[in-house]
Amino acid sequence: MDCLILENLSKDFGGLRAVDNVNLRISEGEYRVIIGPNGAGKTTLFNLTNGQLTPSSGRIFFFGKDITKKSVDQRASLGIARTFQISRLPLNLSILDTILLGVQATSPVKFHMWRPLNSYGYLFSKAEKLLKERNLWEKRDVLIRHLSYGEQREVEVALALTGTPKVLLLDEPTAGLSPGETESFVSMLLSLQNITCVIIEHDIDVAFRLADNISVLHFGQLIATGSPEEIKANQTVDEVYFGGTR
Amino acid sequence: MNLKPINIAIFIGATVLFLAIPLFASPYYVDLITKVLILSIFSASVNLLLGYTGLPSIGHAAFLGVAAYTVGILTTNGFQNFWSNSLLGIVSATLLAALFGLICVHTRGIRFLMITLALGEVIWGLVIKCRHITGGEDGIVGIKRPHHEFFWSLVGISNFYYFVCIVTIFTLFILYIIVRSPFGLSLVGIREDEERMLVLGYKVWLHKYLSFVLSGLFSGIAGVLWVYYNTYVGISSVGIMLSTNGLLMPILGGANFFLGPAIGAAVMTLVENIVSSLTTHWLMILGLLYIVVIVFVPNGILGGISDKLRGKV
Amino acid sequence: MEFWIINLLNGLSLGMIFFMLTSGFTLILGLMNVLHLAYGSFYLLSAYLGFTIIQRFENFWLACLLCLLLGALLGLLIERLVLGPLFGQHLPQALATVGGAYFLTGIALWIWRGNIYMLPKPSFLEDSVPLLGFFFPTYRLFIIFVGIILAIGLWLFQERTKAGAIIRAGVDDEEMARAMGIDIRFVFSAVFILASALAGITGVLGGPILGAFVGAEWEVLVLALVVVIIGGLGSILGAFVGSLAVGLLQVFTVALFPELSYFAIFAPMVIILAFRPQGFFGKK
Repeated sequence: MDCLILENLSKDFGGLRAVDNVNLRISEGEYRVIIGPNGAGKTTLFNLTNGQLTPSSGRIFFFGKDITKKSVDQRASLGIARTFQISRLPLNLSILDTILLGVQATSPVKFHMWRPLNSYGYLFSKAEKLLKERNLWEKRDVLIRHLSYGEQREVEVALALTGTPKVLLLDEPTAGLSPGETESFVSMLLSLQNITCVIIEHDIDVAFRLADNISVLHFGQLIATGSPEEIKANQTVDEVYFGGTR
Repeated sequence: MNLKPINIAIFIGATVLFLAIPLFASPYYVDLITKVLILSIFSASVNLLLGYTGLPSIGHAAFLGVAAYTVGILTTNGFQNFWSNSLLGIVSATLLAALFGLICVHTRGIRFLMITLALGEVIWGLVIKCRHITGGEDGIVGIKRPHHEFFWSLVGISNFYYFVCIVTIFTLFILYIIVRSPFGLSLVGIREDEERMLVLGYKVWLHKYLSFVLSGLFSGIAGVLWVYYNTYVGISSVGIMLSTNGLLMPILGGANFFLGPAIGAAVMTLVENIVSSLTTHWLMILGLLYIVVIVFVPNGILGGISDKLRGKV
Repeated sequence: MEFWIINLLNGLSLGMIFFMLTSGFTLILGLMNVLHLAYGSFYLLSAYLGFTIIQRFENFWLACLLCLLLGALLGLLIERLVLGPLFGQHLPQALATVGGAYFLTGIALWIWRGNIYMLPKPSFLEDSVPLLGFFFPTYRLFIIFVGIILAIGLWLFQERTKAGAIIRAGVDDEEMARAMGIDIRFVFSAVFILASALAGITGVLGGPILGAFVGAEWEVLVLALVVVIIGGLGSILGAFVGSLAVGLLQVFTVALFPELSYFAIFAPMVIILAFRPQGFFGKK
C-alpha cells in the first residue's frame, strides 16, 4: 500500500520555485533516500510533508487520506515524525524531560494538570526503553546544552521515535557524525521495524546502504527515482549530481 | 510524587514559621507580609505565563482588578456573602482571561506584550468610564472584611493574615502541582520551541490558552484577597503600574524558579517600603531597579544564587 | 453638509496629530523590532520642557530646537543603558524600556511636580483661516502639513534610503550585515536617536493639543499601540492610515454617539486583533 504520496507538489517563495511539480510515491515499510545538491529543495519537501509549509499547489496523501490541509500537529498525530538538519532540541531541558515531552505528545495526558508527572509510570518506562536503546539512560538528567553533537543527534532521533510514528522523515541525520557514529546510526535505522523512512542524505555510501529506492532532486524537480543500481547507472543523475566525474 | 522527607520537612517547617509570625512580629510587619503573600500569588500567576509558557503579559492587573472590583461592587451593594462574592470575583477574572486569551494566544514575544498592554489599558479605561458602577477615579471605599460569615472574623490584622497565609499556601501548592504535571512540562516545551512542539503533535494554541485562563484565575484569587486587604478598590488595581510590577516581580526573583515570583514580591515590597520612607522619588528608583535587573541579573535573585552554587560567577 | 465637512477636517487633523505623535514609535518598532515603551515618557518630558521654554523665552523655535535635542539625548541615554547591552534581545529590551519609562516619568514628576500644562500655540499660528466657507484653526492646518511631510519623509527613509535598506536587512541578520562591512549597531543607534529626536519635537508640536500632564505618556503610548495594531507592523503607510482612521473614528463618534466615544479607539483594535491580527497593511 502506498504510505505517502506527493502529487504535483510545488512551493513558490516569491519568485523562487523551491519545489517544482514533484510526484513521489512511497510504499509502506520502504526506506526512500532523497539525494540532491544543496538548495535542491529537499528540506522544503520535508517541510511540505509534515505541514510546516503549505504548498503553492499539489496534494499530499497519507495512507490514502488527503492531508494537504491538515496542520502540523494533526499530521504528527496521524503518525508523521521528523528530525531536523540542525538539531532542534530544548537546550534547557534534560534528556529525560525532552523524551518525556515526546512520549506524552500524542496522548491526552499532556493536558493533565492535576497529578505530578512522576506519577505516570508508563511514560517513564517508554522513555527508559528508548533511551536505553541508545545508551543515553545514564545521562538522562544531563541538560541538552551539555551534550556532545553526536549525543544530541541521538536524542533528536529518539525524540522522533517517541510517538511510534508510521513515517519518519530524517533530514541529513548523519551530518557531522564520525564514521563510527554513522555506522551505528545506519545499523540502528535498519533495525527499526514497522516503519517507513524518508531520509535526506548527502553521504552517498550511506544512501546506497539504507535505500530501497532513491529519489534525486535538482532545482526543486524530481529528476529520477529508482533502486540504487538504477540511480547509479543513470546518466542524467551522473551529470547533474556528480558532475559527470563518477 | 517526589516526596523526599527533607522536602516535606521544609514545607511543614515553612508553614509553621509563617503561621507563627504574628506571635513575634509587630502588626505593621504582619500587615506588610500579608501584602507580600497576596502579591506572591499575583506574581506567580503572571509567571505561569512568563516563566513556564514563555509569554510575557504586561496586562495582568486587568484580571486582579476585575476580581477586586466585582467583590467591591457586590459588597457595597448589599451582597454580603463572602463566599459567593469571592467566587464571583474569581469567576469574573477567569472569564475575562478566557475572553482576552482568544485574542492574545496567537502571538508571542513583544507582540504578545503589546497586545496584553493594550487590553489592560482597555479595562483601565472602562473602569474610569463606568464611574457610576466603579466609582471612577475615586474607587470604592468601605469594603468590609467578613466578620460573621467565617470561622473567625477577618477584621483584625492578624486574623486576616492567617487567612491570607492559608490561601497562599493552598494556592501555591495547587500551582506547584500544575507546573510539575504533564501539562506543566508541555508548557515548558512550548516556551523552549513552539514550532518543535507542533511537530511533535502538541496543540500548542490550546495549551497556551489554558495557561492563560489559569493564570487569570489565579490573578483573580489574588484580586479577591487584594480588595479585602485594602478594604478599598481603585484604578490602581487595574493600572499599568500593578501590571508591570506583576511582570517585574518574577523576573526579579527568578522566572525559572517556582519560588522566584514569591521572592521577587518580597524583595520588591521591602525595597518599596524602605525607599518610599526615604524619598518621594520611588518611581525613579523603581525604574532603575527594572533596568538593572533586566540588564545585569536577567535570571533574577534565585538565578544568581543558583549560578553561584554551580560555580559560575 | 457643514457638519460632515467640519468633522472630516477635524478628524483628519486629529489623525495627523496621532500620526505625528506615534511616528517615532512605529518607525522604531517596524524597522528595528524594538518595542519602545518609554516613548510616551519622551513625549512627556519634551512637552514639559517645551512649555517651560516657551514660558520663559516666548520663543517657539527655540523650544522646538531644544526639545529636538532633548529627544536625541534621551534616545542616547536609553540606547546606551538599555538597548545596546541587550542588542538582539527584543523582549528584554521592551521590558527594560518600561523601567526607562518609570525613570523618566519620575524625573518629570520631580521637576514639574505633576502640574498640568497646556502648551500655547505659537502666535503666528494662533488664528483661523477661512476654508471652504468656514474658519479652520491655522494650527491644525499646520499640523496636517507637518504630518504629510513627516509621512513622506519617513516612507522615503524606510523604503528608499541606504540606511533604511541596511536596517531592514540587518534587523534579523546581524552577522550577514557585518559580513558586508556594515556596522549594524551603529546604524541602529543612529536611527533610534533620530527617532527619539522626532519624539522630542512632537512634544512641542503636539503639546498645544494634548497637553503636558502625568498620564499623558501612557495615553500617547496606548495610542501608538492602537495605531500599530490597526495599521500593521512595519508599515509607514499602515501607521498613516491607521492614525487617520482612528482620528476620524474618534471625531465622528464624539459627534454622533458621544456615549460610545471611548470605544472608538479600542473597538477597531480588538476587531483587528481578532480577525486580521497582522493589521491592515502589516506583513504576516
